[in-house]
Amino acid sequence: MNRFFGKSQSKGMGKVVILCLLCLCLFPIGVWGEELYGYTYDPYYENPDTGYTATVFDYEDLLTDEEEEKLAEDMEGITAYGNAAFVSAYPEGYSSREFAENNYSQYFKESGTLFLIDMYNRKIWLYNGGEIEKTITPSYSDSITDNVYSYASDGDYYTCASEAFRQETILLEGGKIAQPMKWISAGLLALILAFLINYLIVRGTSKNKKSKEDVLINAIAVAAAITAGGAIVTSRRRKTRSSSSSSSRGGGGGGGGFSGGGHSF
Amino acid sequence: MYRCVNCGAGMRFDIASQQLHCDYCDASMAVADHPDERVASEEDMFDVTVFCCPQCGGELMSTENAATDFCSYCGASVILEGRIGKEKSPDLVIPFLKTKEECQEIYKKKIHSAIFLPKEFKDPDHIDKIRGIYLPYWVYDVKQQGDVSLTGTRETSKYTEYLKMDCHIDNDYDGVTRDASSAFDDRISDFIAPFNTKSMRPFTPAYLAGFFADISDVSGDVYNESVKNETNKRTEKQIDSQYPGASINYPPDESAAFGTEITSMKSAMFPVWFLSWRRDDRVAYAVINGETGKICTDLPVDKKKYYLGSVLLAIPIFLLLSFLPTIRATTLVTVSSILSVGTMLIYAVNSRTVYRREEHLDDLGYQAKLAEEREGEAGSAPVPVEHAEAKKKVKSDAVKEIVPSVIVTIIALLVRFLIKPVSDIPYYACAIAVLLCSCYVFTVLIKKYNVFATRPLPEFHNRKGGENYE
Ligand SMILES: [Zn+2]
Ligand SMILES: [Zn+2]
Repeated sequence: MNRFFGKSQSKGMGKVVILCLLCLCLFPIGVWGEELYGYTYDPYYENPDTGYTATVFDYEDLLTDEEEEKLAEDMEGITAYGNAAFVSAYPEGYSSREFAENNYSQYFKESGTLFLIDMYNRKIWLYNGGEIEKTITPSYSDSITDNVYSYASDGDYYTCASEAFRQETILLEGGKIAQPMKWISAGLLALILAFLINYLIVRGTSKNKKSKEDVLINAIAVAAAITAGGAIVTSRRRKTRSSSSSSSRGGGGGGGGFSGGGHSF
Repeated sequence: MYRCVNCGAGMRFDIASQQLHCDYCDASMAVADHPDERVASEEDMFDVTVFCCPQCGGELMSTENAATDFCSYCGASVILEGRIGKEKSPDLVIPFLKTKEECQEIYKKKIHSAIFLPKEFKDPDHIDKIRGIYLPYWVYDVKQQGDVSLTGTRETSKYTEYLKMDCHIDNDYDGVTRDASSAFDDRISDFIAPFNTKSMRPFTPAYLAGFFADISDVSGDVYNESVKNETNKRTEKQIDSQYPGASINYPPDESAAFGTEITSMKSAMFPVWFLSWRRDDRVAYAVINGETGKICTDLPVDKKKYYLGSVLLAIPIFLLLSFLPTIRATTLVTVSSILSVGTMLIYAVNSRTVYRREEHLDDLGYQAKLAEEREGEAGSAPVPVEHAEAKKKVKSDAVKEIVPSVIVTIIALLVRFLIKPVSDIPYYACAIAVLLCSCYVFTVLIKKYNVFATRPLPEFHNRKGGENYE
């Protein structure tokens, strides 16, 4: 991993330095501290209100310089909610997930989103943490990567990343309005379910049952005398055998414990 | 009226002892021992007081002439107008076996679990109004005789076998019953059935002492086909049991094939306990078979109780939903749409049932009476008439009540599966719109349910009943 991120020059932010010192004091194991905070980078954009940054690490050189600038602009909206990073890499021997996870923990201790184009595994991966993760849950990450992977397949990496960040921005900006709507709809859903359950209770308890057939027949005097002759088989037809088809089930469960989603291209 | 031989007061038929009883001097006497009994049982007419409700025109007869202060048909608290007359004696009777107290217990047990019932249903004063009424019935004896040749098939593991079967049928069904009052919904008689026709005895007015009786106004011939069909179906079952594994093709005209014939048709009085409840222009009945205790009740819903109960139930469901892993906006739209479609389906099924019932489309006795009034002919089985106007109204109501919901649900599904916006807001908006529509459909549904669970006020003004009094 160092191959990709070691190049960046150290220009630590105030907060990071303080936290760094604090951590160093708390944890005498220097190696750990170095692993975590040893690599700093030069953000393309820093949000003056929140201090969150937007950064492009195009190690595989998938984007032109112009595209990198443009992409950083596309990511600015996200910095209101957390850090944003674009990474293109060739992480030999790692899975996209591991790589994204490691890089994420190296850069963002707080809220953040990392979009990875993994040229080794031929995968795109979206990894979120902190505040952003609360809005963009793993299932949303999945749908976003589903929506954009085709651009990566076509080699249009800029549109791929830009579209992913655009959709994230929409989700994040809508999150505030969506929250009360979510509670309203959950409340209404609960009400409809209650209506339905009560309705079924009403129908169930108010049902009048007819007597069973044997009770009914018992109430009348029946003298039945049926002399039944044997059943004569006049003809028979051989049954055509229908072949039974077996179906195989594929697929499997997804993993848990981390927050991200990806798609191969 | 049967007078007490000791004190001269009116006696009543006491259910517990199955004897005539005097409440004043506590004397008891077997029905057959009463001196008036020998005279009464020989006449084919008996003296009655016919009580008529000034509100609904419903008529009840009684051997007493004491005034009554409420009407069992429409639930009105009015003094019924009495007039003396003579009524033709029915052939047979089943006396009351279940006492008023027993039936009140049966009723209480039945309404116990109905939590949204209007509170009057549980009011002891209301329950005390339960009234013992004899209902007129027709009792049929049916004979089937003949040789039948049937075809059928049987499935074995390798073959489909074609069968030919010959049987000789010699069946007697004695005591098939049909209710003979147009005021009494055939459906209620289905639910409280059966009366055990083996315990019928010859009619004498003594059994009526202390009770009321409804008037027979449906000709027995109306039910001929229905009675024959019933016995044919029973015979089918017996034949089926003779040929296990075979599926038998029965001829379209079974009555001809089985030689089904009605050999006798007698009039009878069967006992029921009857309780009616009224709100605005709807009534609800509780009817209990006075012989077996089988109950049929209309249980409407108190809308306020229902809504309050639903809101209370919604709270734990809401908490449960919030504990679940976050439901995505898209899932919410799908779930809401499914619920909405389900609600509308329930609505549609209910609407149809209510329509058929309000128009009495499945009540042969009522339809016969209607046809008679229209054409002045009695007899043959009637064809239910659907009123174009009523049908139109049901349709226009449905349009008003569920079309908005249908449109909103379709839009929501289009947004969810075709437009697929990125932001959650349109999804939540759709879900909220669909759920609000469902709420509305539910309020309509509860209204419909109450129509379903109650009956229109009876109107007997044009009822011809009681031809025999002077
Ligand atoms: Zn007496
Ligand atoms: Zn009345």
